[in-house]
Amino acid sequence: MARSVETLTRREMLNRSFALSALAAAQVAWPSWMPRLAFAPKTRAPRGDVLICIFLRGGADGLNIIVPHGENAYYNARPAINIARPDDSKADITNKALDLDGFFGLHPALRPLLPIFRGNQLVAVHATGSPDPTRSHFDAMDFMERGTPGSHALTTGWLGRHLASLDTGTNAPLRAIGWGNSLQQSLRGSISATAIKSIVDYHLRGRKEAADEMLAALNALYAADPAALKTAADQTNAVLDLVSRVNVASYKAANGAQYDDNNDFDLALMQTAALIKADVGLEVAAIDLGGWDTHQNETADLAKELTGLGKGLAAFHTDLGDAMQNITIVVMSEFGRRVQENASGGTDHGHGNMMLVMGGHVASKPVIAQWPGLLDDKLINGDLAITIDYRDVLSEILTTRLNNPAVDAVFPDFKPTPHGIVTK
Amino acid sequence: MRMNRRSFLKVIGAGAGTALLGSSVIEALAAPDLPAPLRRPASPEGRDPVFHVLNRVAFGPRPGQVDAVKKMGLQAYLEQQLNPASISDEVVEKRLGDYMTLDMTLPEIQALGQAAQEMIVELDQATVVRAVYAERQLYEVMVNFWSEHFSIWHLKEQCKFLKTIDDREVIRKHALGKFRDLLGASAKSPAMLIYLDNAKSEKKHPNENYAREVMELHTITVGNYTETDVKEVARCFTGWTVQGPNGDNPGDFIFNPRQHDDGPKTVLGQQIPAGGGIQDGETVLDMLAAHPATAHHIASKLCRRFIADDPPETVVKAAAQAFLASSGDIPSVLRVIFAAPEFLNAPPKFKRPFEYVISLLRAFDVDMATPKPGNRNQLGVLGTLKAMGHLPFDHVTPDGYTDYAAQWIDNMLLRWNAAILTVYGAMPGVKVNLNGLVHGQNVELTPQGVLAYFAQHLLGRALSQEEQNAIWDFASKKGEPNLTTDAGRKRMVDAIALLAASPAFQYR
Repeated sequence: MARSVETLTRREMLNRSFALSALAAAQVAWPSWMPRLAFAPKTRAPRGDVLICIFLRGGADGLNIIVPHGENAYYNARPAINIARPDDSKADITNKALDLDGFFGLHPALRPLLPIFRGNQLVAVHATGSPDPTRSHFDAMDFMERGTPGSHALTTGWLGRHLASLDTGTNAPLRAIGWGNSLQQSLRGSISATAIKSIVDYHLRGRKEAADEMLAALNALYAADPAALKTAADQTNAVLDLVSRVNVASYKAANGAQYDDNNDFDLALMQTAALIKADVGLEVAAIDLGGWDTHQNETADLAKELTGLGKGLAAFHTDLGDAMQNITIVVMSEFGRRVQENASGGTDHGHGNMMLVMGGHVASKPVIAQWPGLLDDKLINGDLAITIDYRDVLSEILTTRLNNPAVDAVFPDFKPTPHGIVTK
Repeated sequence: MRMNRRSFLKVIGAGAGTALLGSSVIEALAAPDLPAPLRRPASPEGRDPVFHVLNRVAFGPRPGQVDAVKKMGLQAYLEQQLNPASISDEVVEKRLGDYMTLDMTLPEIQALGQAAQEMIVELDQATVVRAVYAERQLYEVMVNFWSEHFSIWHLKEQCKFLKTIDDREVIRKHALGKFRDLLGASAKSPAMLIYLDNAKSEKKHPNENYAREVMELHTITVGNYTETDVKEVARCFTGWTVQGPNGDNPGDFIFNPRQHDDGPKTVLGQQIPAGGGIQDGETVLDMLAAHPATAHHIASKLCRRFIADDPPETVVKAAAQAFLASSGDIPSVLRVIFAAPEFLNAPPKFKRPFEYVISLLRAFDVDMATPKPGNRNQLGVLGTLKAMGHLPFDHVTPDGYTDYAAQWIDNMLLRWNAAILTVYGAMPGVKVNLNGLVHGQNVELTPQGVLAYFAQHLLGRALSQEEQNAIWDFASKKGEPNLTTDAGRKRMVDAIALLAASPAFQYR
């Protein structure tokens, strides 16, 4: 398929890298752990919400998650795998949309989230996403996480740049966690972002009795190192110290919330909850959830994934209770899926998608969309069009809830438009 | 790891001139509150040249190897390594005896059915085993180099199976051969054809992915071709595809004339007449392999791997000239690099995760388990590499893992734990025998003697005063360790683990 104009821009960007001045120059010389915006003045602002970014990997089918049940074209395109209208008396309850606003409905597997919608702490944004036309998972995820659709040029991610451009005055060693084995691309570029698989496992191995002394000896060795490792070692030590003070193993969720111990997603949410309540200075957490690439068997597979997503989010919401006033959760995926179902009971890679935003300060309507509709002439090559750039959603969250006005540094070459997704 | 460590340095260094590289940039941009320069002191006092070479040309010395190479002579060692056929590798072959899928053809792989899913694990583990045990160390270093240069992501569709074939028929066949042969084999590799989408390129809509990356990443680099060249090269490669299940040799390369755009083309200013068929693509590859920008690109990358992140331009030029003069003979280029004084005097280079882990495993003469189908418990090394973001063939985007060592400086906990687990023999699937090692090398069995041995073995020199203080301080916390007691031996093992985790061992 033809590449977009933005790909040509990537070529230009690489060549005019010098013109990007501090940002680019900083990337030329520095190792990955150093703040990319060392020379751009940071904004000082008090800490805002804790931001939790959940990435559904694989291209989650937004049309079957936030269902446009008010549109006939949806049912024409998906005779086999559609989610039935809320008032369809012939449909099975496990496949009937839960109405949200008379036009859009919620996939029934997300039933645990319905009260949160009704309580005005959850909003869906539809026909949103990244404007780059790529249908390649890795390109799309990469562009989205770097925050530069069409370009792989920057080595940092949007969250990394957000952290680097904002001084919240805390000096916390662990401002951000990427749950999992390795740091998500979105978090790259901040010295105080660390990948952690599990806090319980985040400690120096070896003989427990010798661990403190080993650490002290390592500190002495690294303090003497004339090169760059001292800073990396200091950061490691600070995180180790912090983690040792948060007792996650015996964490008890509040308000009767129940996390599923056997599931990495719930564990990541639970550990995030523990860190938030321990008030250690955590500002951002990134969580990945896989399994969304439903080329076949979508009805069963999507229901299964959504069940996990809904239960986990609901448990977190219950657990945090009033603290949700200072938390924003955003759920996104690299692209949506084609309007027309395929011949294998599934859907193929598409374009426009939905995002979810949860928190104590979100819009009081359940769905925000500039809905282009699903008629053929409104689709892009058979895919849902994008009328709200995903960077609009994220920029609004950063400025309104995280007190960071520097969205031009976070999303270069982009002017965001507010849509009233979050409130002050 | 989903990261793309693609960096500006690579782009700028390749084309637009080198004035911005090196310490001048760092000094120019330095601000008072930033840490000391990234460079270590030029050459640590008393560094053993053989030790240094074994950390560049090999993945680090095995016990006793520095002495063995000294006996042979450094030149003789280098010449032997440049000619891997002259070195027996029975040890590795024996260790890989139970790895069933490494030598399989595609029909054999397909016959495995569900069990074919094990191929990823077998290839990954075999890659580690070879890096650890091969006598043909330079060959393994070059296999690693070219695997990352012609990078393919294991998890893209059928690359799960086809990368094993690519590893065998493309990378390993030509790692110390001629660049044009390597490039040609890669262009026809079913894994590459699928990874970069050329397999589905059509005459009506040629797919530009491979066309772009073969120029940008594999050969002449950005700035040396235009967008029109990309389109024209894509046209040249139409028809280069993979046989489907109904072909004579399913999964093999095939040229499909019906999908080939047979019109005339112009690539990099050169006319390619109509009716060329498969020769169009071959002509493009000939041009790219012979292009001076390719010579410079490959020379830079090789100098980066063997000398420094910002290699001295004199050696890069000499290596590029050798590349052109020898028509891309890789050993000829390497000879020039190894002969340069800048190579022998190269400052220490931060070990990338793969290099660090392999150097640990070699230094401690470990015994690695063979993976059993369905049993993931013995794969501690692969898990460690994955956690550190350097699992072979796991880089998603075609630029591959970065060769800029400094970009890998990150959270140290994973390295510290890798060192500790290895030395303790607690890395799943890895056994270590410190007693055997120490006795086999005739180490003086006192705490100071043991420390002195491991310092020389791991760091190539004696401990500095600060290192000595830090480690001895630790080791003698409860009095000088008594090596005849359990507690004393445990303390000693801890101290050795500290050495393996120390900053100096993070460099090669």
